[in-house]
Amino acid sequence: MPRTNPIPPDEAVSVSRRDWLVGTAGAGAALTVGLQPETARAERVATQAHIVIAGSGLAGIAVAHRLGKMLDGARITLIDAKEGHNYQPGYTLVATGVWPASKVSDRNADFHPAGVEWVKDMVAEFDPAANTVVTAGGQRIRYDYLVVAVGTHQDWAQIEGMDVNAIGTHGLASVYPSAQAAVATWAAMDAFRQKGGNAIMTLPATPIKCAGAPLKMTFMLRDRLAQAGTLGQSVITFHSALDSVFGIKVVNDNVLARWKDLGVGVEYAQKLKAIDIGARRASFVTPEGTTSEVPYDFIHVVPPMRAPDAVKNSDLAWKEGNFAAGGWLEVDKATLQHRRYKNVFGLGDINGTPRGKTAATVKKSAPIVAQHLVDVIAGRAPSQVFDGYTSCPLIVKEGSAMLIEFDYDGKLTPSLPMIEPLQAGYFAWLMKVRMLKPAYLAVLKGRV
Amino acid sequence: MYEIWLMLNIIYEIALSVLPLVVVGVVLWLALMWTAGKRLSARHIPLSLGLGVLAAVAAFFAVPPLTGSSLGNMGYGLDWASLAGVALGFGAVAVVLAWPVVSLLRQPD
Repeated sequence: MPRTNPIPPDEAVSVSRRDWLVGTAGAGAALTVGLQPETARAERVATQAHIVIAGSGLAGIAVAHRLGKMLDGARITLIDAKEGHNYQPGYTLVATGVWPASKVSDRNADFHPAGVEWVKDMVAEFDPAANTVVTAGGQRIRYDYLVVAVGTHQDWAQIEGMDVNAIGTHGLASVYPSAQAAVATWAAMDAFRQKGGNAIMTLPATPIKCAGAPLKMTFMLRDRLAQAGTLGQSVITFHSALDSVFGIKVVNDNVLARWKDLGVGVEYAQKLKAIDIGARRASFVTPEGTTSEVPYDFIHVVPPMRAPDAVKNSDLAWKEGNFAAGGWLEVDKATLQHRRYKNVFGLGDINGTPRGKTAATVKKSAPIVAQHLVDVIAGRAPSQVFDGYTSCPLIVKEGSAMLIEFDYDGKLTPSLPMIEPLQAGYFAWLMKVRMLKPAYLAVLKGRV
Repeated sequence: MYEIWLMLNIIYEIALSVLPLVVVGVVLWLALMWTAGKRLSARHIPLSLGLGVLAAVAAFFAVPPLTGSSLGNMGYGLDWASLAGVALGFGAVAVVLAWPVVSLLRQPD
């Protein structure tokens, strides 16, 4: 007798597959909506305010996206002459031969939100008393609210004889100026490691963006020499203008212990004052004024940094205290609102705060600045507190890194409980080479 | 929750960066599913799972050198867990791709 079944087996599978597909799609949509941050689902605030954002890097574009979603009717203007958008956290990977330059170079036009006016010029003057900015081309732009996101100025003029255009020649390297400089730095490093020799790595006394980069370059140089088999005929010395190599003591001590094991020497209170590129000689000066001249075969130069002139020469800069010399933006470190001009906010490297010149800082602070600006527009006091979150995937060799995260107080603050900040390994490396740029793009588009 | 949302966005941006490959893969899979049609069966899942396990094992050993590292750089539990997670992800994709192929290649009952 044939077996009977009210539903043939293949149709049963078809029905269950259809239901599974529909169910999965529905669950996925619900989960995605549910996982979005609360601000993404909040009601928009109606306003006719004109918001000017000075600077079109990660900070400026991220906050423009957020404000566009959070405000209904606002006019948003982005001011920046730069057409190119550079993924600066990738520069150390380009400068050490891990990535090609194409992975760090994009176009600003591809990332600007719809409906934002783009003024292709630089801000030359801030006049907060008149709620006005003046561009290099002389255009006066009034605003109701201002977000200052102009980044840092690399003060190469402080190093006598330095020529950024010579990077890549005569053993001269620097990861900071541009993607092209990063490419040239790798060329210089690659040439140096063929024979080895005397390498100098420098660190200035000023705040710098990505304070981990000078350390990453040192670790990777040592690794590249080892790979080339020329480590035995090389000496690497890190010349810090400070009494440390990193601002977080526990990380500083960890790095120094690793360098001791790796044979990297350290000199303190040595500020790079001059460089003779052709003769390959670097001059250092101590705080007491003692100078010394050091020959090198390879030198990685980190420029002193300060605020761009437009901020430094304006009434927006700190007038006294630790951040005054650099002309950094005078913001409250918890709210990132200007301490005197309440319709002005700061975002990114320009801020005169104890820490936080990294892309990760923008990731955590852009939502806060956007929310606080909306709060002020709505007549409320800023509602959140920024803890100074900063993060640095500190590469210790090709294939291995530490994931260092910390706050204003210098306390290590790993995002996940299972992360061991001072343990070097694959996870932090994988993040650096495969996951941080996608995360950066999500921040840029205002989604994270 | 924030970390989960962040990871979803990372996966989304990675997919965007290889969009043509993703589109080809999805179209290919849909075509295989359509072609397999009524030959799709739960009986083919164990073999598909087996192929997925093979893919996961291959990925476990291949991913570190393909990402500029090595198994020698696994420093602690999180390193192994993240590598295992990536390998399992490859394995899951292999299972999904293998099911219609196995169904097409195996003799129907």
